[in-house]
Amino acid sequence: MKKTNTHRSTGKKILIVEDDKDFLLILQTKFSSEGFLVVTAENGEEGVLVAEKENPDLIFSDILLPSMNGIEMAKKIKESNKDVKIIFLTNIKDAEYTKNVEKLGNFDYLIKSDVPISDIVARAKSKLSLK
Amino acid sequence: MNLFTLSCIITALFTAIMCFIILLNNIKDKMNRAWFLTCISLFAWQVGLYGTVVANSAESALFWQRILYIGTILIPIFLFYFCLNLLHRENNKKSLFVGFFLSAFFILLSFSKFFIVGVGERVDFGYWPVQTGSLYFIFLIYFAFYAVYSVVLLKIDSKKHEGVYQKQIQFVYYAALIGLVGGSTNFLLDFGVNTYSIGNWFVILYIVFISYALFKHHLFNIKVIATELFTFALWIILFIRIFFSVSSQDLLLNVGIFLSVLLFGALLIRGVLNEVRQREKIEKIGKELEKAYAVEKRANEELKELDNVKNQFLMTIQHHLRTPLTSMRGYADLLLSGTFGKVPPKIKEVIEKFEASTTSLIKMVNDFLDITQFQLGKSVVALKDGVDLSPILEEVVKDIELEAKNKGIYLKLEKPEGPCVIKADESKIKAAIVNIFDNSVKYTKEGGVTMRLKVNDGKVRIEVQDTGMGISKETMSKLFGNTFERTAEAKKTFTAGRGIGLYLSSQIIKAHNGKVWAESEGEGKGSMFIIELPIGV
Repeated sequence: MKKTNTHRSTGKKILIVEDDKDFLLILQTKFSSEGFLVVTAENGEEGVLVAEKENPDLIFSDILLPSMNGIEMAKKIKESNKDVKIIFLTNIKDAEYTKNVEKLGNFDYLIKSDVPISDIVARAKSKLSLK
Repeated sequence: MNLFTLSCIITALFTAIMCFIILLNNIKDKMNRAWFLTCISLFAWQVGLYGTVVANSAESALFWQRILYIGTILIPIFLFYFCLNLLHRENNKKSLFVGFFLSAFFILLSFSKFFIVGVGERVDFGYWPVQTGSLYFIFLIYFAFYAVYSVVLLKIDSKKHEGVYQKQIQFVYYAALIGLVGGSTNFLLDFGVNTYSIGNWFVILYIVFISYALFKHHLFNIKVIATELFTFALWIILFIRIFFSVSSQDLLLNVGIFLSVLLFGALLIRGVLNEVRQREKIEKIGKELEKAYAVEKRANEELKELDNVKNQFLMTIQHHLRTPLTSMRGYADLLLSGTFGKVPPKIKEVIEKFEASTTSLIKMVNDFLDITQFQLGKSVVALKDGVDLSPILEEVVKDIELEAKNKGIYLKLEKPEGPCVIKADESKIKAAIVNIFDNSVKYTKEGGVTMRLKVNDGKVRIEVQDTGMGISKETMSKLFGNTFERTAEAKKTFTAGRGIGLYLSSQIIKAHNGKVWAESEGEGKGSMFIIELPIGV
């Protein structure tokens, strides 16, 4: 787990669970520069542990992850932290796949390649009711 | 004629009929063959018995007694053979071969003085073996061994199984018990005890029971069996009546009735057997259908497996193609947004070009992946209720505004006030409209493109009208049908086109249960693309 801080703090903590190191670094850098406290994990199991320890306000998670996939991880985290908001970031465009995520309830689903980083930040701010 | 001779006639007749039925039915079947042999041995026994009773000389009686013993020697080993077949016991074959060998040995010596030495008066019988040879007692041991062995095997196996099969075994078990106990009273006579007249009747029960079990085992209908047994009984009664005729006229009448009933009975049995064959055919077809079903099930499982592999392949491809592109654009985003500090204008310009190319590449990869998914029969579209088309159309126009401005053509959007809600996959329907709208912009050099949104008759109609190059009749039919196919005029007007946009749009619209088509007065006269979507899909 890595932790980065910011100069213009929003007071909100974001957990990013992503196994692609490049994309993780991009998100981590971007969110830190936008004033979020960022914690990270590289697989589902680590994601559960970090979520329990850090109690984030919002989680961005990939779905295809080693050791435990993002959907399983989200279910586990929701068991102990009902209020946490989760946005899935994936590169899998599949109707059945999307339906499975929708069955989980109030989860957002973004296709990484379809949205610029600035849109991901905008989505996070909107989810956390930040301007 | 006394009751004893009557029992001999009836049993002989009954076993002969059984042999006849089996021959008519299916002698190749192992069970049938085993029961046929048993009936032959019973027939020989009863005929020998009848011959002994009615013999008028010692020589004649001795001859019939030897016939009787040929049957008696064969009864236990054929019963054993029948039981092994019924119980599917393959590992008792050694005992069977030893039994066959012993029975052959006894039959060979049955005409010698080692078996029956002489006949004389005994109890009610004029002629009966009064002197037996040394081999006779060994034969009794052989008889008892195979009879008891058969009954024990039946008892053991009847406990191992369930259902109809268990009932077959139980039937044979009780039949064998009754028949062997009844028939064995024969041997008591050798010791001066006369129970023969009672015991012989039990043999008929033995035959009836095993016949029933055998036929039931082969899934004959009980009603059919009943018909057959009733016919046989009628034959026997009518046959016996002949012997009790009081006058020659009565005899003639009885023979006539017997022969008529015999003929009709035979026809009836033939009909019944035909029915049974039909049933067996149906049963065979049923089994073949079951096999075909199993093959189909296996094929379906394999298809399912193949489908899983296909899905896995698609997911892997999507992941591996999009992931590096996403990072490329992400880094460009970071640089352009000044996350790493201010970027000099010249470098910024390069990064912007890099980002635009990456975005274009991402779009191309997305289109190819979508086409692959459609062509592999995978659903790409996830329909959701409450999608408002109005802002989507605004976004579409906004996305292409810059391109139109650069070309010096106008873009217009005409739509009713308020939302226009349908069931759709928001990103996919937008991509489909973008492709069509963008296509019109690309092939319009002067004038412009107008997009209209209309709602009527439970349908949404989106018209994209341009003042562009128009579409010839030949091109019209191929417009949405093929990928990577472009007309020469289209290639001249817009060189970078890939020829997949309209195909992909039509697939997406079809997945929304909608339709898309184009109208044009001809080349150079502009064209109009029409999308129709149902409101409540």
